[in-house]
Amino acid sequence: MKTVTDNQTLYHLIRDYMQAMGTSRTTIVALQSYIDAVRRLDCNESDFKPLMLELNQVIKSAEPKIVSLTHLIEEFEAEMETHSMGSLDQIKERTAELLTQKLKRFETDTLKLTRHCADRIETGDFIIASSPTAYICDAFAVAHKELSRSFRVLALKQDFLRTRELVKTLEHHQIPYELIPQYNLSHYLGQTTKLFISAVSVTTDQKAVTGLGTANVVSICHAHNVPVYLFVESLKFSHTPLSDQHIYREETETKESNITFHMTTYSNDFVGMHRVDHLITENGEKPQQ
Amino acid sequence: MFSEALIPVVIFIAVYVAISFEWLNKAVAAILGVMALFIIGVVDETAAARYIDFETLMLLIGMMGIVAVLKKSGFFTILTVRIARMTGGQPLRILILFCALTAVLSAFLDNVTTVLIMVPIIIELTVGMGLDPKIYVIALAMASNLGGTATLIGDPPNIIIGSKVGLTFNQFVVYLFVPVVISTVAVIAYFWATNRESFKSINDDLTKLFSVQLLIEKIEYDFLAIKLDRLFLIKSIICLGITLLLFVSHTITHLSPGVVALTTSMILFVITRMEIEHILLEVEWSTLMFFTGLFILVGALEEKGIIEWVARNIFLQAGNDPYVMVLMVLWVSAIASGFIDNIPFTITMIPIVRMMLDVQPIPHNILWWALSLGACMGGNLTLIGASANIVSAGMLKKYGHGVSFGEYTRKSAPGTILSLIICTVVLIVYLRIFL
Repeated sequence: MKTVTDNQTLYHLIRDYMQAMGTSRTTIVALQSYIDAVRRLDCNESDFKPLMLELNQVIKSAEPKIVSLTHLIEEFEAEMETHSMGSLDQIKERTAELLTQKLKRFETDTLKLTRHCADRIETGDFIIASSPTAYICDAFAVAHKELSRSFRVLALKQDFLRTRELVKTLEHHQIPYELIPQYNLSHYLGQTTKLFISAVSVTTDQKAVTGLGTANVVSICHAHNVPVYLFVESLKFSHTPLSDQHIYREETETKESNITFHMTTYSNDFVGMHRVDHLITENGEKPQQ
Repeated sequence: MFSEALIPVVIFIAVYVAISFEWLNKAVAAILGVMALFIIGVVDETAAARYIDFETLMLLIGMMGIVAVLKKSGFFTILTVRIARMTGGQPLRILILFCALTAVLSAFLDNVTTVLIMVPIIIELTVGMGLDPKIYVIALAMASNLGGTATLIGDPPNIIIGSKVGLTFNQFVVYLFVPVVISTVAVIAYFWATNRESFKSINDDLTKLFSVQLLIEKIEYDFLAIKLDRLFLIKSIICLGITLLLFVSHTITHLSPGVVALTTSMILFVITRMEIEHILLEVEWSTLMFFTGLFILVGALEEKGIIEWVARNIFLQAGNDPYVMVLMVLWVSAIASGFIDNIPFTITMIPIVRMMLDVQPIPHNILWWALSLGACMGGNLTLIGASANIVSAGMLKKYGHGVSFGEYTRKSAPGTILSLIICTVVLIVYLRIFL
């Protein structure tokens, strides 16, 4: 059995990955890693199911909860119930096959969402982007190259790791952009036309769990009538409220100039859905409740 | 003679103590010592210039320049991340592949550069897997010191011995490759044997396999952000290749390693169109100042007959049996290098070994190989024995896994003694063959 420390190391890794690459990319990489892990697994037939259930439980308990991955794992677990017979090789093959199907389904959803995101970019737009989410980055590329839209991006820098993917994409596709620290946003509010955000999950109590710093940006934009667009796959709609999203809370101590700072940090922000003007999934715009 | 020699001896010891207890920066301590000699009038500028071994300095500047350009190319980071993927997260494979790559890289780059490239990745990998990174990092630092022993350019003591004695790149490889390879294998085996539980395969643990796959993706993301300029990389590797080729073909070209390294580094600067000021910042000028100061200090001691006195009254007291002489130089060098900087030690030992050879000639430079093996491998004995150890321990601390002097030594000393026993056997075999 895994110890709490083992799982915390994994959760820390998942958090790091999500902050750098976004939830959708993390979901895809986690599914690929699951498939690779199954292929490499060397155990008795009877041990396979307990090992699989153990990993599923670890994934489902991640801090924060990766709702899209959790839903796919739950579906996979239910399907495996009917396919867990046969030799180890057969079980492994079936497992990899089912997980590949989940992966493909999620990739298709993400591609559709990218398209919807690109469709919402219009010539003359000056779009605020604060998140490193892969499909928003991809949508900028699609709108610029395939749809020939002429727009600018206001990239908000949080830390270089998180801003890297966005800037790399914009540079690569020669999309005009301006990079500013998040706290300087007020200087640009008269010029910007849209805010694009993504989310880790949307909860039953109408909250979107987002990346760090997003809540402030959404509040400012909402107050200044900059339309807020939330792009999220349906798989990220949670069946539980915000309190069940396992947002990680950490207390740290830092010593500077002989003063000890006790600081509390949270792994994610959350945004009330009433501040979101447009909720877009892979199926198109979803009317707000 | 003693009254005349007293001042340089006192200054030399003061410099040694200041360096060993880290009271002063090494370069500053050495140059202050030289300035004291100038002021007191023990040596003048003309004599000081004569004592400096410019061949060593040229080789060091040249290699530091080449390594600085290669580092900028990102080649080594890419190589290390590829190795991380190859390990598949298997603890034993991580130990073997990382130590082997470190030893090979250290044979051509300086040891500190090698650990600076390798250690962050191995810490990320092991910590991410919930393993104790200390064993891996200590093994890596040891592999770096061992690998550096194999070539003329791998470790400063070898650079000094090579240029002061006139030994070639090929001679180092021919005589030191075997003991270095056996010692590296033995050290890896030692770490495996004493920590077997930590190196268990993870293939029966689905959660760990999953974590490892995710972790390797994350490491690739973190470390492979650099945009690789292929042309730049090709030019750098070609230049390093030509440098090594010219080292190896010394008997045909008669070009000294210092001339080769400095020439190829300058050509590399020109063809890669690097900002020279930028690259020159990477050259460790303080190390070069340290070397210069030490050459002058030891030169003064030699001039005043102190070195001869030490050789006759300490080293030659043990008699002139070649076996005793070789093993004494090996073990004394190793133990001394474990506690004091091996660079000043080697510079001090060179004239002593020369005198020992005057009394009892030993063929095939075996006494020099004993000095090289002892001075380089002895650095593995304790945390303070080599710069690579201190840098590695510093990085462990930065990642929240601090290691004390005692803990480091407890983990590194048995492996070092094992490698010195192997060197003892190899040197005895050399003596049996060549005497």
